[in-house]
Amino acid sequence: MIVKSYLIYPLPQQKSSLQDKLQQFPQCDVIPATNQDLLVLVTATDNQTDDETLYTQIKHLPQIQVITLISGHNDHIIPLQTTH
Amino acid sequence: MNQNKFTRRDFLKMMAASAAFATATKIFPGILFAQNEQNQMLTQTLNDANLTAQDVAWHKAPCRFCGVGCGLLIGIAEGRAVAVKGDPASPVNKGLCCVKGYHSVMALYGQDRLTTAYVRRDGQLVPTSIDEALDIVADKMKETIQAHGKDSVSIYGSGQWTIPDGYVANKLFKGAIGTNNVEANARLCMASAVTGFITSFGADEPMGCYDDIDYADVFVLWGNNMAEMHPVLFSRMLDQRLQRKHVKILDIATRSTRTSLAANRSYIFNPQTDLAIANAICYEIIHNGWTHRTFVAKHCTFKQGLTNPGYGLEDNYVFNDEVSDISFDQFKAYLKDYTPEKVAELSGISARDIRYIASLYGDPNLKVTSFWCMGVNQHTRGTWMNNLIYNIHLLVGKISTPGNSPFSLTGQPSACGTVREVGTLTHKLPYGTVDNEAARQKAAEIWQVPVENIPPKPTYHTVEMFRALDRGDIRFMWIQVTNPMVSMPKLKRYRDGSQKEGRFIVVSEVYPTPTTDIADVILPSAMWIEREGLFGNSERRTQHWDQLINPPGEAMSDTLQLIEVARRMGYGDLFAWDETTHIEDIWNEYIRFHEGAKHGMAPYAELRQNPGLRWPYVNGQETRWRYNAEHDPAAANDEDNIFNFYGKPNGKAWIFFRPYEPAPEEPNEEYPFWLCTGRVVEHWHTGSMTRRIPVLHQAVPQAYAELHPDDAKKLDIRHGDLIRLVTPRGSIEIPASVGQRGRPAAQQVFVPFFDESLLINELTLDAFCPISKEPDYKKCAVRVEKV
Repeated sequence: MIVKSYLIYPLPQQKSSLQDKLQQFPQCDVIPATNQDLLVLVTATDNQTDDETLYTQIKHLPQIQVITLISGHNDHIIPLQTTH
Repeated sequence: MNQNKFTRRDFLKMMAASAAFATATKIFPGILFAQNEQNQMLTQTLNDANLTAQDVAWHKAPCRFCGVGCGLLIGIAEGRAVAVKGDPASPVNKGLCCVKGYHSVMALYGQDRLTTAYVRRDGQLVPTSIDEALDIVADKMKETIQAHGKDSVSIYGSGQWTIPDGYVANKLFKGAIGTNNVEANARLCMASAVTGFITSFGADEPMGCYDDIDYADVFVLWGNNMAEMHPVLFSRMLDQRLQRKHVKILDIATRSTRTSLAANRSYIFNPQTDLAIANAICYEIIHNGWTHRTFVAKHCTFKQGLTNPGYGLEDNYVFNDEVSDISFDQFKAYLKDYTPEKVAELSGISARDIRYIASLYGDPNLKVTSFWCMGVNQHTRGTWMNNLIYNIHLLVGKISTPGNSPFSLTGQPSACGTVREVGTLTHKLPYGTVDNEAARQKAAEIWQVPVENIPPKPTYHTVEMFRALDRGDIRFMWIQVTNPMVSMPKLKRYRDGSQKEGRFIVVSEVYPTPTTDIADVILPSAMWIEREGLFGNSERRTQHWDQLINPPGEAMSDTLQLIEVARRMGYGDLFAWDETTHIEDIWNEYIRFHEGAKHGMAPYAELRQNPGLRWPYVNGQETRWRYNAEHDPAAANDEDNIFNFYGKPNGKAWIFFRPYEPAPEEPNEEYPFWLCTGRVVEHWHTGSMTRRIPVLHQAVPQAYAELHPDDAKKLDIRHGDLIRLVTPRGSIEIPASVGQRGRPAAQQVFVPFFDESLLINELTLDAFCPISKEPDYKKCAVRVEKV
């Protein structure tokens, strides 16, 4: 399971349209700011392939100016190294 | 309802959203999300899980990580902590959180959480009922005292102890058993701040508060990567700079960090020369006539102490400072060795830059707040550095007024509340010191023990306590809420010492650590919101939280573990509190020590209702600026004097002459680099909790060694290459970090200490400040080899 959050800066006047587009992806939750041109996007996918496919689809949306990854969780990337 | 309906995926999505909200808030202060979108998202995920928002109850609690003391709201559903948000009602963080705070509840649910006690039998740790384990702890302590005396048993706690934990530990060991063998890991992080306050003002803890951030025009950060270590306060500072365009942030450090990048100016100095820089600023202030003569004449006296006191490298090291009066003219004469030109040569900061920094302190139209933390405190002359920053503020009279504050930040959530105020250090009592007869009398009266029980002499500070364990002077050590087998300097000696024949180690913990590895008994601890508690943060704010969820398995709060052992040792009458009300009862007993205008604490009922209250709490009011009669009732003396530094008998603060002296170990031909250790924003101290939070672990999964790009090039080392770091104490192999988060100066190496699989403290030196006894983790000599 991969869960990520992003900040997305839409192009001028494209915030609502971008929000609509993103909400069409079932893996996406979108939370718009009310007093800035900014969206918070949270994605949840089952594996690396799905995550990469989704990200490719999102980043090619023409309404996006900048997309920035904020946090990422992946169950299976790096095991915890302890000494016990 | 089914507990599994609120899925892990839901939880992770909420945490990811919270991190994004936090980041957005830092980029756009005042940003809003429609109709509290955080709650909307919660509602949505709850709906997905067939829960309703009504199933989530929000409760206040302070964050359990750093010393800032952010107020959190914890969402509880079906007996689990499922969400976190910053508490908008908290004056500390005003709804903000850092990445650790937002993920804090995930630290409760690591897969290898300790839920049962373990006892070592035939060399193996064997699961045991907690009742039996507590019996063994009490029996072993009694047996050790009988065989080797009271001073053969000890407790080593932490600035993450709650106030009740520390209070009960102090009462059990100093009042009931009768040994001053009580220490806490705060000795390793803020002891120099304490001795700095005590020597300059006669009373501990900052005179100012976080409100200073809203008033200051200039922030000077001394050896303090605030952007990573105190990110919420740093955000508040950046916010002020956005709102008030003239606000400036100056970063004075040995390494370029995220703080340096955000600062208006970054000054990189050669290690240890901060002593000279501070003196040069004083020189400039006096030389240019910027001294506030009236303030200094009325409220300050000039002093000097002994010089060349050594570094505490040998066992049983003793140093007693001898303070004598000097005149202003003598002080001025001493500073002639610290002209900007001379100091520029030593420090690497130009004379022009030194003059500029001094001019900001000296400008009567600017309010200046200085912040510092480990760079100043973890220093073989840490007390002196604290004194020197106070000197600067006192000379220009910029102290104890809004925006004018010399402010030492703490690293842990209750370093102030538990260690400094409760007095969980060998020389301290909740009020006063053990060598003061009146303080012992007061403690004996409140604790209801014979005054003869409390020994009049301190025993061992932290480094010496572990040396005593190695030597065999201490035979029994109980360690709670800390991980010394990762955090002690010169680690090998103390790890080997703890495992010698005839030593018995008890560890109260929430996860397996290198310290539980050396334990004879492990007691599973209830963590943070699994029990009721109180913390005290950096700005004298005491914060209470209720127990919000049940601890797992047989885990028990450290307070109750101590009480149970006390009862088993025959001290039940002194700890006769009811389990349901014991925290309130302990608080009510404890605050008797601080009654009065100088340190009065808020009543329990008030603390339960409020997001923390700052002491002195007098007539239902907090005190924001101490020693200033306009804000502090205890400072009122006569109409002519607003200020009264009442910690000193004559109400005058001390301006100390403290010279530059070199570090005990400097780079040489065999070990040509400086080694500095520290932290990263994602991990809390030794990583035993934050490394079990997947998002944080993935972000920084292992330690690394930062090198300057020029050094890396000379040694043919690229980012990610494995390198070997070697000091006279040991060596480790560790990935190199070049051109990443931080950039040390040339010939310097920085390594974070959170990673138990890459123990940098195998290499560090156990030299300490002779006055505070706080070790210097920032400076020793190291060799870098490509593997």
